[in-house]
Amino acid sequence: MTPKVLISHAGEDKDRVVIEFVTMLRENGIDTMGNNLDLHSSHVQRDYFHGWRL
Amino acid sequence: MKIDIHTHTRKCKSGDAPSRDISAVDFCETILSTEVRIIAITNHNVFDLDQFEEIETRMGEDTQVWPGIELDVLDGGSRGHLLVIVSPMLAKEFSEAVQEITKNSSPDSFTVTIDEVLATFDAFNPLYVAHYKQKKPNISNELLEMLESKTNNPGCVVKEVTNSISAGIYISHGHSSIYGSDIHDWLKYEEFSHDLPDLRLPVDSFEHFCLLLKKDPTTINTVLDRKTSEDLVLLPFDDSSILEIKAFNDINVVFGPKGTGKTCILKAIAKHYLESGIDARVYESASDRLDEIFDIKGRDLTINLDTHSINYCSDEIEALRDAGEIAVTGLSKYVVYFAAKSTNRNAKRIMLKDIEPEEESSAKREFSESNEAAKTTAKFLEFLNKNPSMKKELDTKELTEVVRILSELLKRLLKREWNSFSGWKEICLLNSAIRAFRNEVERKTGMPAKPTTTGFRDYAMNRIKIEINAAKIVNSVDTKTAIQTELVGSLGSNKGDLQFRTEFKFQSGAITDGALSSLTGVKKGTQKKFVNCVRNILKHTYADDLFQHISELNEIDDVEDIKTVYELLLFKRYFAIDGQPYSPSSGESSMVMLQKELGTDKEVYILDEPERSLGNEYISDVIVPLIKERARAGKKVFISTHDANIAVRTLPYSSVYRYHGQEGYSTYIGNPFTNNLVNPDDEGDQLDWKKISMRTLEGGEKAFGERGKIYGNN
Repeated sequence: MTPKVLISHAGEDKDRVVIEFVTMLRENGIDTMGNNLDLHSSHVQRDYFHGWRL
Repeated sequence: MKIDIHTHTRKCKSGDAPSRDISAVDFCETILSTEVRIIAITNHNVFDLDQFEEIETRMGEDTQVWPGIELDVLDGGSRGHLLVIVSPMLAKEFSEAVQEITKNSSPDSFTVTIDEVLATFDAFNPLYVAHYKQKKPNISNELLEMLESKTNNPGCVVKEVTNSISAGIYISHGHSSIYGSDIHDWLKYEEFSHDLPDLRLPVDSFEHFCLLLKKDPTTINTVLDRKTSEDLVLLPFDDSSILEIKAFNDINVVFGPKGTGKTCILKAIAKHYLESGIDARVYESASDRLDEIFDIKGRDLTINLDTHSINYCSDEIEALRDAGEIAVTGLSKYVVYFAAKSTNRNAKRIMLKDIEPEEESSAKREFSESNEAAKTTAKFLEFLNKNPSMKKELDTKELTEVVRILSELLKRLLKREWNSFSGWKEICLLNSAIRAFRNEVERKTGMPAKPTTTGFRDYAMNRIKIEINAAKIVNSVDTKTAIQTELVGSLGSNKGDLQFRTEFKFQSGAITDGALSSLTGVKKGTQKKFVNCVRNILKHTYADDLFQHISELNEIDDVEDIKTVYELLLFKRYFAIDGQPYSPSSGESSMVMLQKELGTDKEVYILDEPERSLGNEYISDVIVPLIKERARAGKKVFISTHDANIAVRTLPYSSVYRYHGQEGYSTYIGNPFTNNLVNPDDEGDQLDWKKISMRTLEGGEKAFGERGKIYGNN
């Protein structure tokens, strides 16, 4: 199973840090998902968000 | 109450059908299953006293059984049948007389002359019912005249015809006429009995019937006086003349040519009752008012969404419109913190600022749970103490025990609620103190505080709340409500019932049906954009462009008009038959409006020309029975009419006739039973009720012709 990492970040950090970081992770076989990574259609992400419901 | 003056219980003559034979038990059972409450037994040339007495005993007091016989009259070469019916009190004597006159013959061979009939039976003061015209074998006119001229009771000679229409026609021509079942097959009696004559006035006995037949004024007035009535003193006209009428808890008719002030009388009657606090208004047929009465435009239309388990979503809509992004903590804040930390000695020494805040939500949740549990338990305890059903199911000991346990539970829950509340607030206080310290350290030392959270949780929770709110709104607007159907009235057996239907629909975002109107007046375009925006918000809850859709929601014109999903409702109202939209004609509108008026339970009905726009058949088949039903229920029904079907076929207890002649207006008051209309200002001035009705009312002769089913004015 491919490991998956949640990247939670501020919008301002997207271009500066996150894209480069995500690219690096993906190149190393680690999938990512995050709150500002255009992954909104992913059910996994939605479920992850709901996992925070307390 | 129906009457049947002609029945057979025995096959007496060889030509009689065997199905005429019936036992006393079956006879009583059959009659009691019908509305017939006066019945004469008239076997061919035979009177069976034993059977009569058994029937009379079994029948009880509710049904009158009159003894009689059907005689074969042969006189002067003319042959016909004559019924002789007598008082039940004279049954034994009547039996002896029959035995005497028939002793030397069989039922098949027996014949009798008119003189012999009179000699044998006239002393009984009987009711003579002669087969007439089409009722074969009929008594000739000559023999009838002989009977009428020689009997001591000419008022009690009645002509028997074949059906109600014939009876009505003969009555309208001045002949006393009636018809009976002359039953051949008792298995068909129940069905046949529906067409037997109704008695409009209550008949106490055979003797009473004979007096009514003779139009004995005292007898008629005594019967009328038994009916609940009141004297009305009215001022219906501009000339201040007083009109006094007796208003019966039955049918009261005002008739006369157009323009004689009938409506004024009805209005004065309505005023009289309104002033007495009784709901009374003049019903006027106006077919164009049907849409208005049923509020087809929905001006006053509302719906309670709670009863349909639909959430109004007031809080959800407000929260959605106010929603904003809660950002995740940016890396720059950490950069600033760590850069400053390494250079600021004072800040380094203050360790307090590095204390991490406590997580509040689980403490808050625990409080919410115990709070909810305590509230529900307290509410149930209150219900338990107040609800009578509980006290019926539980005895005192059980109830005390349940209350004790629940009270103890409530006590513990309240304690837990308090503890969890204080625990939660403790954490809040601590976190508040930490934030205050951090801010103070940041202010005093110039060193930024370490971010307390990455912000992801708040970010996620914010989106989840938006999703929940949007989903609730979508769930509400996607809920279907059942079509509301109200019966307007019957359009007759061919078309069936006219219904009034109300359909509610929420604007789904895709509804374009022009027949649907906005319930609250919010523009349909605004409703549509709103719902589409909410659907987009739900779809994009976890997308980067979520708040773009929320902005679009807030930019919709007049969006502030939508505070709940109620403002998203559309409706249409229409008349329908079998679920299909139907536009009733003006006549049909009048039909159903009148049905609605008469279907409403009131003490007083005042109908001004209810026949307007209605067909004769409908008046006879639907409206007249409805009016009679109201009268039977003891309601006062006042009707102004030009229609003979109403004025004649209902046989009103009271009739007011208005007339305009050369000397001005006149008023006559009377009834069909005495057949008189009397001018109250001059008691010598009298009119014939029947003649006036036939002359004045539309369809008068025909109505009389068909009126034979109601026996009470021949």
